[in-house]
Amino acid sequence: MKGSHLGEFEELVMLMVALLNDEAYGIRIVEEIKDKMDRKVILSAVHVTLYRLEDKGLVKSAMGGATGERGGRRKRIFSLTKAGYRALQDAKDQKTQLWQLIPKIS
Amino acid sequence: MPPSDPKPPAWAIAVLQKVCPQSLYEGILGDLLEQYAHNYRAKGERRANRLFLTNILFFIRPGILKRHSKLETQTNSIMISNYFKVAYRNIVRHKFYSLLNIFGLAFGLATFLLIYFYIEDELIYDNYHEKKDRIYRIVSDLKTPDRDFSFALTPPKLAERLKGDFAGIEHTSRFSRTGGLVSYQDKRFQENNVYYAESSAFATFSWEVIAGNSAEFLSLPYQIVLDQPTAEKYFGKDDPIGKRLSIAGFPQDFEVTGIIKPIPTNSHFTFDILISFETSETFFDANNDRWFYLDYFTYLLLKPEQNPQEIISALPEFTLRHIGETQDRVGQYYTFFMQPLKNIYLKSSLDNENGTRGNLNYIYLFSAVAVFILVIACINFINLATAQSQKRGKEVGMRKSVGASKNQLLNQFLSESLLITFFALIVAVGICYFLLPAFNDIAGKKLGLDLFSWQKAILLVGLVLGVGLISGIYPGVILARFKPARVLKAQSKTGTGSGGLRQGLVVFQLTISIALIIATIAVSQQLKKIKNQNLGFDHEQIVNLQFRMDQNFRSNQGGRDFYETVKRELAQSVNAVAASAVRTSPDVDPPNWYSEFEDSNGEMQNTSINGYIVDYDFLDTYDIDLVAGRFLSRDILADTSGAFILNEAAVKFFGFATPEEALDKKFFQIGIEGKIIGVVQDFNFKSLHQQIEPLAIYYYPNFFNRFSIKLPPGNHQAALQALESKWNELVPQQIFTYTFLDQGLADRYQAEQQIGNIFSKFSMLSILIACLGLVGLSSFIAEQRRKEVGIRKVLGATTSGILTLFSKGFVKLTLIAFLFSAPIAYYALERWLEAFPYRISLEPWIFLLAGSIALVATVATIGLQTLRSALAKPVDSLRYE
Repeated sequence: MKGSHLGEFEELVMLMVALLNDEAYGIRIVEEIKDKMDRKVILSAVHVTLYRLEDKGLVKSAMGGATGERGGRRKRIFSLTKAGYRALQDAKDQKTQLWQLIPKIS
Repeated sequence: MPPSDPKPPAWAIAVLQKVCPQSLYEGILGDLLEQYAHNYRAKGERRANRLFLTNILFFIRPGILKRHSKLETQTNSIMISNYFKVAYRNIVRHKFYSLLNIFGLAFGLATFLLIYFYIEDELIYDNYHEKKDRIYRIVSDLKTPDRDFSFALTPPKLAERLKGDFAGIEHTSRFSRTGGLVSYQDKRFQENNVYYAESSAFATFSWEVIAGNSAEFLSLPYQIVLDQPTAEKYFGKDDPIGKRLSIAGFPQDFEVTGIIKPIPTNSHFTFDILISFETSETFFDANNDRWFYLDYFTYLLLKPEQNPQEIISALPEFTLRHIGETQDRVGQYYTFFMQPLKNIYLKSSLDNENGTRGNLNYIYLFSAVAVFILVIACINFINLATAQSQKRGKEVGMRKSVGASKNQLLNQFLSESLLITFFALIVAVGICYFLLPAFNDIAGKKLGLDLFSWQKAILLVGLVLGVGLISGIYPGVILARFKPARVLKAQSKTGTGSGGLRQGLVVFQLTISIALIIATIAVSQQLKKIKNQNLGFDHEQIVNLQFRMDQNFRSNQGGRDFYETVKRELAQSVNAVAASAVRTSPDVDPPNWYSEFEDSNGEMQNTSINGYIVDYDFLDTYDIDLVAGRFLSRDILADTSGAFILNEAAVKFFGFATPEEALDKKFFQIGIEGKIIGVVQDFNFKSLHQQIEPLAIYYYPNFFNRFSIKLPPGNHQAALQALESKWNELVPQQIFTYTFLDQGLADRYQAEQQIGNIFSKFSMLSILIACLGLVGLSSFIAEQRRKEVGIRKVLGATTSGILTLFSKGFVKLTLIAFLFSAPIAYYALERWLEAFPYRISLEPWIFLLAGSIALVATVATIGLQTLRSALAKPVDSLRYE
């Protein structure tokens, strides 16, 4: 099924959501990707991807508490759903399988 | 130093708010602000601002925008489906009123659709011609010293001269009407829809050619083009091209050179057969210079760049240049006009038209009727809905209390009316389907119910929206305005506020209905008047047998032309009362010919009057009285040429004081010079749309083309059989064709007959729809006053007393409507009747009868509806709480 296939950027964003745990919200994910991968991404791209993943049921979101930063705006915190975690796992497994099929040249 | 609380531009935030769906806005803005604060510290205010703006710009993307609309429409469509769900439940709950509404609207819509189809068909005449915007017909006005004529015909040479003078004319194309007995081997048919035509006709008009080369299939003498059904009639399945047909009277056979599709019915003129124009030139010179011989329909095809106005304004000068001298010599003057093709069917009604013509006034009239009937139907809906508003008051109150906005309520009531209109439309299409054959019959059309084009789809959707909104908006607004506290607290009299309007609308409906009934009665009276009008001659029991005065008929046998023998034998075979050979019987308009007469001062004057060519027995056959002098006599040889009889109208027209004074005066027509020997009583030889015109009657056998035979009373069928067998015995070379004079006369009033028919049907429909509305209103009122009726009955009111009580109000409304409708109908009908010299006067009884019909209909409707509540036992109605 097309919906079960994860895009490269989707997978990346989901991984960030997973590793950021309770701190997974838009701008934080952008920063994390920059830190860990040294890759510049656009905030709106991350947002759109998160919403799309939410539509697919792979992540869920909830509004966090208000802080003094951000002009008092709350954060929309994302977390993986079970289906999301499984999709991520599947993607990794598939890749591992493929890696194992590469003939070993030594 | 940067302040502790950096602020990005407010307008950018406003943009973001517009762009983002409400639910996502906070999270996104928070992220942006956080980043902004970070950038502000790290990179300074200016770069932070710029990055903030670019970031917002990146949020203007489908992934965000689409999310926005998706959510919105989701809520909307949820509400809309809810509106329709509630509307549907309401319709089902109030089955009776819903059915009334649906059927009322359905009848209105069906009427509207039928009339729409009719009008559409009238308006698309000649639309199929590709070059329709460049095609014009030339017609002639002829001014003689004492009368003016308007002919659809033109002189022979006009076309050629026009083409020579105006470079902007691409083609001219002449047609001339003819007819004859056509035969192929053993198949013979009388063909009456035949024209001489030039091959340029096919370069001008877009008639579809099935076989043959249209550029030249009419270019040589004795070539003939048939439409497909005609070709099949003669040749069956064989290939007709190259076959030879003969037409009686022509020395040579015709070669079939082309086959065309039948001319569409929505053409201002149609034909079955075309004969090459060259053919007619072999026996009379169509290119001659006879400018006062009118026999040709002339069409022009202008070049695309030619401005028609230029030619129109040059026409007077053109006329003067070519025929100025001739005109002065004869004393008659032409004015030529150019009619655009698209105007011919509806706007032209000249003498000698080449086909029946529509009437623009009737189109306007029908459009008005269609709209009125639809309005009547809408009013039904409005009235019922406002009357019921009391019942719905509580619902409105509840909805408002739990947070419905005025707009939402309005939406809901509109969806209800839209749904009802939609159901009504489905029923209406069914009704149309059912009524179309009958309607076609009445209207003389061949309309099909073709609803599957996009134009029709737009029309239907437009109708549902238009009618639904018009009828739903007022009740909707009224209902949505209710104050919840008031309606929920007690049975407030919310419905009565619109009572005045409701009554006004009922009066309006009834006014239209009564006016239509008055019109129906008056039109049918006028038709009856025409039918029973004394025409000045006896038209009953007369049958006309057509023939062609060929060599055989003219051959002399024992001192007499053969036609006399045929006539006598035919008459004897059926014991005819009398029989006469004539050129025209009174169901056909006679020709108008150039004439000269000697006035009372002994001077010759020229004019143009009708000519009636008859034989000796004409007066006996038609039972017309002689006023002065004598009629044609078989025993006086001089009567065969140069003996003229006038009618009284001609006597008056020539300025003679008495019929006797006209006797022995000189007269001249169709090249015959002679004297006036008698005067006959006036008789209506043309339709009753016209006064009796001057007429000259004389003997000229070459022009005879029918026998008028007055049958004895009794079995027509047997007489016709006897005539036919006698005919086949005497003149086997010609086909026996007959028409009854009465039928021919009736055909002259076909248009009026149709209008009368259509009117009576539509007035019935309008009163039916109005009554449906009254059914709803009165039963609703009866329901409301149930308790009142109970109390009244307990106190001793009788059933009839209660019925009177209920109908009193409606009777009053009917009377008011009558007062409005009578003058309107009077004015309109007076204008219609102006066209008839023989007309009824609009007597009071017509109006009173129409008023009574409406009154009886309303009272009966209301009575039946309220009878139930009037008969109900008071105990039931009083106990119910």
